[in-house]
Amino acid sequence: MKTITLAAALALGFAAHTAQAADKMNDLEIAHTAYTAGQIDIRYAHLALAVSENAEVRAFAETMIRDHTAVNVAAGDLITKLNVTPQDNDLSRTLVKGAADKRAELMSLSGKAFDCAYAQNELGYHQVVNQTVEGVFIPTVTVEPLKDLLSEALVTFKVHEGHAEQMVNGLKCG
Amino acid sequence: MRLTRRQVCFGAGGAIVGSALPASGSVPVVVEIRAFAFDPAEVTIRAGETVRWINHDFAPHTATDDEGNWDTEELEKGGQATIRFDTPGTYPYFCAYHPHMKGVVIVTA
Repeated sequence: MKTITLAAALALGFAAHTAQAADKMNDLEIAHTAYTAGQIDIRYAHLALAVSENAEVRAFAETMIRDHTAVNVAAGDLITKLNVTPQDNDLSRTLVKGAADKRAELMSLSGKAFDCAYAQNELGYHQVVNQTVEGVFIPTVTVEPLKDLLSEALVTFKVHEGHAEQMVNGLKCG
Repeated sequence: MRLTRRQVCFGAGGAIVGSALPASGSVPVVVEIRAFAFDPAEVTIRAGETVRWINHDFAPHTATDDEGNWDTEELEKGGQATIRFDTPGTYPYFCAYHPHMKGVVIVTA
């Protein structure tokens, strides 16, 4: 339950921030934030591969790198096709700052403590991102190809969320 | 979109990877990979016929034999691989990257 509580707290805080910011976000800002969210998870995964010796955690991290890279390549292709430039924004900066703090926290851990913290963060992170993409970004964007890309990416992210939940349960973090 | 094509022949002697399959005269049975699922999850073919997997997801996938005897290897979005099954039997498989994704190829004589 600790995981759910943490995730819920994260979701509430982030969702409140997101809902407030979404009114002011345009398509290019949403594209930037979505791309940034993927890059952040890739960095978490590289950290996990550098620290963890747990086979399940490492396999999950490799999947995150593989899948988020694929989604971001597709996003990059779309950006190129549309000939636009994503715009940095407050929400992207908030995500980046929060991720830097979380990585610093994770880097102070090792062994099972790291594995549990990484797994719980992955679950909470995907819950929050998925809630934001589904509830805010997709309804807000106006460019159809971006809406389609976010919708398809959400399918991937939801699978990750389920996978993260299995990882948390499997690690028996207590 | 990156298109890749791969063809494999799987028989009693194991998997043989090649640039082209011997003509079998039959149209491959297609398994679409979409939304992290094999569709259809179960296909039945005759010995000597082929199955073609096509990935429509952003995420790369594989179709990998449970016993490790054959493998499409990584299929990016738009990628496809064709495998010929020469030996009757039941061949369960999964995605090596997302192991909850499962399917089965049933080969009749």
